[in-house]
Amino acid sequence: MTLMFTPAENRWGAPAQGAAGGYARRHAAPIADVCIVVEGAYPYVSGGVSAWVHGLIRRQKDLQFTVVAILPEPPAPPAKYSPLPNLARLHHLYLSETYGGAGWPRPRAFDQAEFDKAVDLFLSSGGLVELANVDRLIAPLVKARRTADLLDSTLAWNLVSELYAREMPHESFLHFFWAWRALFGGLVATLSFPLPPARVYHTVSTGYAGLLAARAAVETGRPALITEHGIYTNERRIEILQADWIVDTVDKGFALHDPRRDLRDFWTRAFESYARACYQACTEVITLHGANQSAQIMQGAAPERMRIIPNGVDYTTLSALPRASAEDPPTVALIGRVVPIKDIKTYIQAIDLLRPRFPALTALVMGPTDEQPDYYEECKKLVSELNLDATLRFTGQVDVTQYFPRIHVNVLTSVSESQPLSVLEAGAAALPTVASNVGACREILFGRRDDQLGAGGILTDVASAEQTAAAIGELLRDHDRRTRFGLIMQQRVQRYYDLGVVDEAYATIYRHHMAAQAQGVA
Amino acid sequence: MAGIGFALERLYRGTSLADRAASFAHASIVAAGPCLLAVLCIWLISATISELEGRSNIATFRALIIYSFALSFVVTAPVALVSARLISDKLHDLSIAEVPAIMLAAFGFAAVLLVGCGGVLFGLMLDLEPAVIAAVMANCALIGLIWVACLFASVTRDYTSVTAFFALGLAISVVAVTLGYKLRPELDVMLWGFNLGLGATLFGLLIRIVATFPFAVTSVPLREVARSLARYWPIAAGGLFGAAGAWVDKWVVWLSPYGTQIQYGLLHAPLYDSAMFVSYLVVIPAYAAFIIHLEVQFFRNYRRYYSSILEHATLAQIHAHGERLRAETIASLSAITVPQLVVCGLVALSAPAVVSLLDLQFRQVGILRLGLIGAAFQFLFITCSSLTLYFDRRAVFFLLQLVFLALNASLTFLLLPFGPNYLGLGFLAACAISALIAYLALARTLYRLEYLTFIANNPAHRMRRRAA
Repeated sequence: MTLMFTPAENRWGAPAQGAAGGYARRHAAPIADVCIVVEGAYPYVSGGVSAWVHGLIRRQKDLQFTVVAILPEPPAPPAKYSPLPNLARLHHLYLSETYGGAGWPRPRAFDQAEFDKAVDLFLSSGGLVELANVDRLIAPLVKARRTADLLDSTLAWNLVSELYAREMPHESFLHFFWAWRALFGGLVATLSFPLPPARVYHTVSTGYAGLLAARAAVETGRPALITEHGIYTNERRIEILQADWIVDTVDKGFALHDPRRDLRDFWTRAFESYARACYQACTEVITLHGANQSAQIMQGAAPERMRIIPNGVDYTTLSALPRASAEDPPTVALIGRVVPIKDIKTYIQAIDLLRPRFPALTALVMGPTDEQPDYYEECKKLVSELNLDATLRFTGQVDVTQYFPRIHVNVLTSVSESQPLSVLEAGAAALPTVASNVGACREILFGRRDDQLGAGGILTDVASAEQTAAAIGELLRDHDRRTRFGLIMQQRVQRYYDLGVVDEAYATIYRHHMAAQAQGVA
Repeated sequence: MAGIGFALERLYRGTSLADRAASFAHASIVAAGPCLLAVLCIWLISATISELEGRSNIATFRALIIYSFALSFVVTAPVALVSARLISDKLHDLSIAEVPAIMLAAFGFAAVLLVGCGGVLFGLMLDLEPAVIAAVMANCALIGLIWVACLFASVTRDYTSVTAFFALGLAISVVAVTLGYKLRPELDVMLWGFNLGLGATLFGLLIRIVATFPFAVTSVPLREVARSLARYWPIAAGGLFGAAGAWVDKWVVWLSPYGTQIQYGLLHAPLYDSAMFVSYLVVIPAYAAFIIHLEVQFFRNYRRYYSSILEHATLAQIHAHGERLRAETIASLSAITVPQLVVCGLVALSAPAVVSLLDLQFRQVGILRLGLIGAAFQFLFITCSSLTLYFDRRAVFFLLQLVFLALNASLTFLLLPFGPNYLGLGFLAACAISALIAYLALARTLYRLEYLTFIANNPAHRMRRRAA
């Protein structure tokens, strides 16, 4: 349950900024059972993946963890989570650092031409083999602490200018240079960062985190796992397509076979290569729901290594909560941050459509309002314009367990989701949900193929206030149906999404890989 | 997926390149102009009152003025160059309103340094009368502040004003010294007459600067200037060594058996000094031509090169602009230096006539010849080393100035035993070697322009390295 983990001041014992000391390819720290690799999240962002990582470590009490937090540059921001007793150390991998100096002499074992070719191949269409080759070729520089040469010397200039001449000589060189610098700099940082020793490496995304896990698997021979919440590569692709800071210099018009590539292709292909290397390196490719798996397969994940382990919620606590009775004033709630991706405005419009039929209706929006204040103001303005001030209330971040006993229907209007915890939490409390058809919502409300329990809510189109209002109205009017949906949801959560089930799944995976490794060593 | 990922844009920082050094580098070149005008000033005053020669005060006056110029030039060079760089940064960042405050801070630093060093030299080391100490200290301070003001004016490439006000001050000085001497032939009167002209120059320059930057000063950023001195230490040290290098051959000769001690313990070497000053005057046209080249051709190519990068040119286009910048800069340097060498050679050939015309001693012919060729090479050295600053090659600039200082001091000293006819040989050799090294350094900079722009000299990387 997201709200169980209280944000805290930065009380981490590990250094909060700067390189994590030394230039050896391995950290000298004692070996951990599991090294979690996380990019731009834990412990510096609250909710979502961070909450998941924190919960995983907190509940796997018998295992010792280390975390590698990947950040763009120092210093690290204040931590949002308190230290955990079984989290031995927090390392920082800053993508802006090279974890080595520059200068002469350059090690003789370093073959620039080979390295150049290997990097080119890896960034354009690489996978694990190509990554292993780059890792092997960069090793002499890492060993001699000369990795900054790759970014700050004539060697760097030769690399970038030759790559540019080969790949996109028609493109803005300034943009190409910075794109190369960001991508290649991140690659160098990831490959030269001292690897914390661990028995299992577990990344929570592809990208640089996946790259580090793949490198760990290559260098140590130890197992790497991935639990992907959303599809990182897709998110980066969307970000790159929408980026107005990338100048388009290639106008392909309607030509389908124009071989020229632009910077967006360059960025995208690099992230696809990182993902491919990660999927190929990982012995377990885990995701939260089935909808993600097709994307993972398309990007090179082997189906036989794939599995689904959903997010878990605290079923025991939530299922014990009292339920709202039919006599209580009709109450609906949307649990989520007040941000555009949650499409709160559609929810407000749906409430506006419902109110004539349910004059006593109470609608709640339960979640932080400070993330995008402008959007929150827009939502408040819309509420006022629709004269919903007496009906709809923004509660801010609250303990949802205090509210569930008053709520009849849970609502989700997001335009994008992975596996929304709010639907699972509501389900555990026997609340039906009206949800937009995004992410894992269908799977949660209707069950996977092997699930015969039936429907636990109603799906709507994205951004459809009419459908949302109609679905809520149906459930508010039909007490029996609402109760039936709620009980089905509760059963489904108990069977598939209970924290205990999820934790046991990860404990089994970790035990399996550590045991296999111990046997291998023996 | 909440929490995962970070904006790629943060890793993708765009447009910071080394072009901010441009207006600052202008200043370092223009600094050579007032230096030459100072030589002209000394020579003109000496010539104007030469009829009064024989009075002991004339030689003392000239020596004191030379001391003042040398001291102020050397002491204020680091502050002037670094504050000019700071101004250049402010102009680049469009923080124009901060310029007058920085100038006041630079004046403050320069004044403190000048009073301190001037006090030691004129108050303690020399046996001067209090009235003369006051006059020469004021003289030293005025000259030092003029250097600083000149550089501020030149950052905005206001060469006309610099030249005009310097010429005006020069004229006032010549008239005031001459009249003052005729009214009361005392050293302090002559010095205050000279100060009158310097004051007029400083006043004119300040009016021009205030007109260019009409902003109120609310606080004087002494700390920022002090931090810049540390941050741009290669420029500060390079400025110090460069200024000392320009004078060190004179100091060596003064301290040698060729030096003469006059009133108050002042040392000078009239045989060497006057011949060298005349040599400097011959290369003034070369400096003027070079500044015109900077304005007309170099700066256009320079801007075109950096603009093409910021306007998203391809590497081939950037390379073409860089090649043009390189080719035209080298061609212009050759086009100015070669004729100047020819002119210096011709003047050297006709040195006996020049000596006669300027009422020098015949035994100065050899020194004059060596000085003339040396001054031409010195021009090449100053232009090449200053041009490296356009590309923010601070360390190279620093090393070049250090080499020149070391060579000029050591070679002048080592060649002293060859006799008075070869007194300028050390200077010539130092200038020739330094000019060659500076030319090679400039050529190396120009031939690696793209690499320097994007990798070695990229301020974004420098900041990252500093942070690391």
